[in-house]
Amino acid sequence: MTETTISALLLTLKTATVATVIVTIPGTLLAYILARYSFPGKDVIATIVGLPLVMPPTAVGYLLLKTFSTHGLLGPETLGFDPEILLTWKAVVVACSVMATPLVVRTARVTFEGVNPRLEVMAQTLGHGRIRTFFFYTLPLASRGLLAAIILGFTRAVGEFGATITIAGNIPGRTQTLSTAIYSAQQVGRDAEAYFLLGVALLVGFAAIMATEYLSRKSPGYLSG
Amino acid sequence: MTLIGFHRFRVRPFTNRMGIILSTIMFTRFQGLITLLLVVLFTGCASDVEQTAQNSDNQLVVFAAASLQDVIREVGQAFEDSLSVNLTYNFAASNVLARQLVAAPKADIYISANEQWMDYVQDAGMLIDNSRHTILSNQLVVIGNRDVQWNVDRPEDLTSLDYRYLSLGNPEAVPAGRYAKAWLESISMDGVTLWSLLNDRVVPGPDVRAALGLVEAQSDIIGIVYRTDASVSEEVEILYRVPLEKGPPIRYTAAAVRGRSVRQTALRFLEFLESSEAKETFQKFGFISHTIRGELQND
Repeated sequence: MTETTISALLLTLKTATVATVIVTIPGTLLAYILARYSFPGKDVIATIVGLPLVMPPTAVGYLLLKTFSTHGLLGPETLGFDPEILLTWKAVVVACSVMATPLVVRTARVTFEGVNPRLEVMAQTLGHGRIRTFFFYTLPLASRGLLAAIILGFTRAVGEFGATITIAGNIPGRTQTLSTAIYSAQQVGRDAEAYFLLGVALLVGFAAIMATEYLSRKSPGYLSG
Repeated sequence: MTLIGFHRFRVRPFTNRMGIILSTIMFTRFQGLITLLLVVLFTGCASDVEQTAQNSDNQLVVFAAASLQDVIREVGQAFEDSLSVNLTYNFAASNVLARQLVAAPKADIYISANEQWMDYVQDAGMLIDNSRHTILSNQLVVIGNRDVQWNVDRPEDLTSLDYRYLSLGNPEAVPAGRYAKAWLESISMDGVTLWSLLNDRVVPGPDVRAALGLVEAQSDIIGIVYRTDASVSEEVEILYRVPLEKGPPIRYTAAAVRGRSVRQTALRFLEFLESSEAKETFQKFGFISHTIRGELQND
């Protein structure tokens, strides 16, 4: 295991975790709003959130590149200061967050839609406010599905390639992640390294899917609606 | 204590119908027949494509280095016009092409930007004997974004300028990157090579055009590419031209690839690359013409 391999793995871990945290909290909230409420523009918002899932990752990456570039919407000129995102680990986080958002939001939304709203109303008849109901009743009921959403988001962040390589580059030691390291190793002919990284990727993916399979099974105390 | 439970989703009607169809396909006596049908369909399709490709002698697949994409298209167009041939191109970094060729030889011509990747393909036994020869050379240039004024009067100036990144083709594998690294390693400043001073600022691009693209996109990045790449871009400026005698010898090598049947057309294309018409086009784009007939036994 070379130094660059270790740094690629550590960077992937770090950025995927940060991206997952960034996406989960607002994502869960948004998913709850989309699941429970109707309002004008709801479909538009749901569509925009879901776009990175269906667009080619390189297209999303290009869009992000243009947004953060010098003259872009969130670039140094418009903002007045240089957020120094492009070609840094922050760009990896941005790319992973954007690509993981639809997975997290959609999975969480389906989970929330599966929580019987009557249970929430019942909790409120017992005197709990909306916020308390959400944290002490809705969330626990949705916990398994939300955990699955988080796992999916995390693995998507780990596996992100197209958008990452576009806005973060593939700088060994700085912005090279597991996916881009495999790409580089393969391009250069370092097959041993490529196989090793492939093994790690398989392991991560395997663990994630097994976990989500386990979580989506019925729990023993399940109540049919 | 909260009760944990989930709504069971109602199975929608169309899912039921799909289930019926799928189970018919998978679990009844028609299974064998349907499998046979699918197998015949797929193999039939595949062999059809191969047949047309093999038999048409006026189809040529050219794998060429990324820096050649503009010039080879023009040269190829002239070739297509003179004989009624159709050329298909695959432009990428020479290392990527070499690896693709060794994995699956689906090309007729391979033009690499350096000798080492041609050696790689040759050692794998993929080349047609005696078809390999060096066709072109090029010059390295240091480029910067047009919006910024960088002053590079001497190579040593690269260490004192405050650009954020130095954009190269991947110095490990991409010829343009390897040449740039070789050049920087050949220059010393206070006892250390320029390369050792600069390599922590390097952004390795997948090919030389990606390296060019990065300089075009970001004003705080400078790069080292071929002068032929700089000339096709309007967003970059040449800051310094590496004198030919100071830079590493750049050798574009062309050869015919074994794997599809030995093609007269492929060999004629290689000959065409050495014609005066082709040489004019190469010079127009800024390439330096350079022809040496090489033997298979390396000297």
